[in-house]
Amino acid sequence: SLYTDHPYPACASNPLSDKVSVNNPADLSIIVGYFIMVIGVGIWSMFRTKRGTVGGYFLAGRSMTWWPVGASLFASNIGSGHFVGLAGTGAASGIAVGGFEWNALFIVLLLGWLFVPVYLTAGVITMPQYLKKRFGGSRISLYLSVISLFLYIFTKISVDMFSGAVFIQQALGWNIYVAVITLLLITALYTVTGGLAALMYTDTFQTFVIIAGAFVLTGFSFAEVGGYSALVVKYSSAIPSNFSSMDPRRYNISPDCYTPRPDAFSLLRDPTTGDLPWPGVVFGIAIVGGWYWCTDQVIVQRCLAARSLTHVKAGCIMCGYLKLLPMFLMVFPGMISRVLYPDEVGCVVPEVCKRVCGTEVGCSNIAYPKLVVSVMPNGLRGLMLAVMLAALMSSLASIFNSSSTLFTMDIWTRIRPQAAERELIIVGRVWVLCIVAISICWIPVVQAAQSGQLFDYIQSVSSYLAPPIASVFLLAVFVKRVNEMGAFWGLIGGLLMGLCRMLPEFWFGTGSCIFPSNCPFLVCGIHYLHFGIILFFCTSVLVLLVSYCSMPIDDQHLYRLVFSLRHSKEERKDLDWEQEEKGRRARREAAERMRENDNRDAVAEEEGKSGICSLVGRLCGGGSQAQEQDTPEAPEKLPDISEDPVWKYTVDSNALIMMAVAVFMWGYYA
Amino acid sequence: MEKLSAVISCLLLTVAAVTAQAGQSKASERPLPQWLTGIIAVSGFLFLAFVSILVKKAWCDSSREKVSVDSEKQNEFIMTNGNTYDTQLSAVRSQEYRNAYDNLVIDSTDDKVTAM
Repeated sequence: SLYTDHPYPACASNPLSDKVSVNNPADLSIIVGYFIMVIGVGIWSMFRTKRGTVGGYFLAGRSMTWWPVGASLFASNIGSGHFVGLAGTGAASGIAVGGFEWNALFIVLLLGWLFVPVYLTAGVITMPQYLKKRFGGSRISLYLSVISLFLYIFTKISVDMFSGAVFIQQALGWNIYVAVITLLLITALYTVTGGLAALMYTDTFQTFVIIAGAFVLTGFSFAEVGGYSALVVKYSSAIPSNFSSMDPRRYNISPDCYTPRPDAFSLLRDPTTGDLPWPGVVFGIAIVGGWYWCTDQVIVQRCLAARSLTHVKAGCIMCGYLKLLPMFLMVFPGMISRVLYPDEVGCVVPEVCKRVCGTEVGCSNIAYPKLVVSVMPNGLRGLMLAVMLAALMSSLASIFNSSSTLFTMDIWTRIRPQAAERELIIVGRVWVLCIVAISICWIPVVQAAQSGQLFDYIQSVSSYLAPPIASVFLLAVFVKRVNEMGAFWGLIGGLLMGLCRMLPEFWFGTGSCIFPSNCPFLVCGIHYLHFGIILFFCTSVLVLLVSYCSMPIDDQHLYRLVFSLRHSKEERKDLDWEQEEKGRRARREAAERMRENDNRDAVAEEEGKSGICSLVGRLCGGGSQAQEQDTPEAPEKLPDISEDPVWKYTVDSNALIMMAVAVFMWGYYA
Repeated sequence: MEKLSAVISCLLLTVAAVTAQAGQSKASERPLPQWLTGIIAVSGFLFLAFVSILVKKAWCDSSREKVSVDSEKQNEFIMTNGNTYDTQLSAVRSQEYRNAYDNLVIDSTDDKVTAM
């Protein structure tokens, strides 16, 4: 969700010429059917996995096969922000924005082959936990938890809510609060009760819905515009009819503000004059992608829930193939939208744009909703709405679940180390409700961003804050010499560098083609992707410098925590052993105290248990049996990353084929 | 006559090229057709992949050799009769049986000659 250049606030009072409400029986029945299916799948998966334990709730019992893993990776990633943002930026500047998606094909393989083996043998549930084991100390994991929660709320949740609101307003005309609250409550329902297992199975269903619906729309759009070659020819002449300034004293409109770019159909653009320069597209997106796919809780958690390393790799390959599709399902329809409706989607005069979509900067963000409203026949509009809802709900649900995992396992266990498993699961569920409330509170912020550059801010937040994290994780996994001081000071240094660019840029604003911002060249001159590359290298240098100047970490603390030692079977002396031991002792004491109280009140309690209580208990995942399970803490067996040789070769050769396909697509559109 | 037809065909060719370029405008500024750049990219990638597999095999083999040579050296150390720096054959020959390493069958002088 890094691609929308121009904001499109949800303006409830804006009259739109052909706003269509979905009120016919065909559309409504499809939407209702979709919701019933989702809730059904959620309930079915509730009975498949045991959700009473931490491993069962947060990691789906580590029992998932490759296809829910792959589908869940795709559905968690593709949100409504992709539909609105990819199509909008495609309409405005061509196919280079698809490079964000096609770069992920390679990064997802890095995830499956290099990072997940280390995370699996380390036996961790969250990423801050991994850093705590790898480096010791608690400041790095605290920093990562806090910044991850911050980034989730300010980038992922806000973008998806925003785009979902755009779509609901455009296509349905529903009250924004009613629509969003209903959506969030339904999402929260199956997230809270089912845990990760429910999420992954519903994600699989939602992936089907997303791909089927988007294919249908793409088919109709191409039919409307006359085919692929017609698109290529017509796009360069998609110029709006009003392009002269209405107020020449205030501003003048230069032709390149409304003419489609000549390099619209190439992925790799000029490094100095292009809007997405090719070094940035190849390396900068790889770095931010490295943060998103390889170090972020949302994505890694799905891989950790898999049953074996081979299933992880197969799931990653499946996700890679699916990531080939957004270019054809979202970017090209966005460009078609501009060809078909140049006066609305490609509007340039501020007064005209304000009339069309409520903001003066530009209306490229309405590209996809406009297609849905205008090109799709009755009945299929409901399908497209189901697609948007599927994208929105799957992403939001994944973010809710992962942020609750982060909060529970990293922040809550620090506040209350004596918390038993049952308490952790309850806290996880309560946190989901809290974050739903926070998301609802975002709606007025979204509506208030009338002329705001919300998407621009979100773009920068990712590129300026993520590269240090990616760099620290990469070095942590591959370089044994990196120690706690190096990692911490690298993170802090990277954060400061990122803030030095981010805050002045927010202050001056990003401006638009007609009203460029007066941000000085020193601050805003370098493209944000290039800045990401520079930030990544500076952070790496800082980490290595500080690490080499201080004490190394012994090998005995690093078995199965770094890539070179991932197969070793020696006993590891954990750096956070003391902290864990304190927590274990506290939990044992709390459990003993609880058992004493239970023996005293056992008789009194049995009479008081009503039918509702036991129903709620069963819904929340086996109340009484969980309590008996966690009193003796069984020693964990080491997760196995050995692979069957036959499957290993199958999966490796599949990965090679997928990379060849990806390289072909890049070469074709370069 | 031939020259005239050659000139006419040249003119027609240039007219066709110009109109084709004008018609397709910026999309065909590429020197090579798109599918060809794709195929070149794939072949380059496969070549690099092949080279890296060979390098990885060579690396793995050399490290495995090093590991087995190390273990062999260790075994030699164990099996020599005490003198670690003595590389003479007498160090590994057994002292009890003088003919332990002689192949008695081949060295025997009974030649079997087939009578003609």
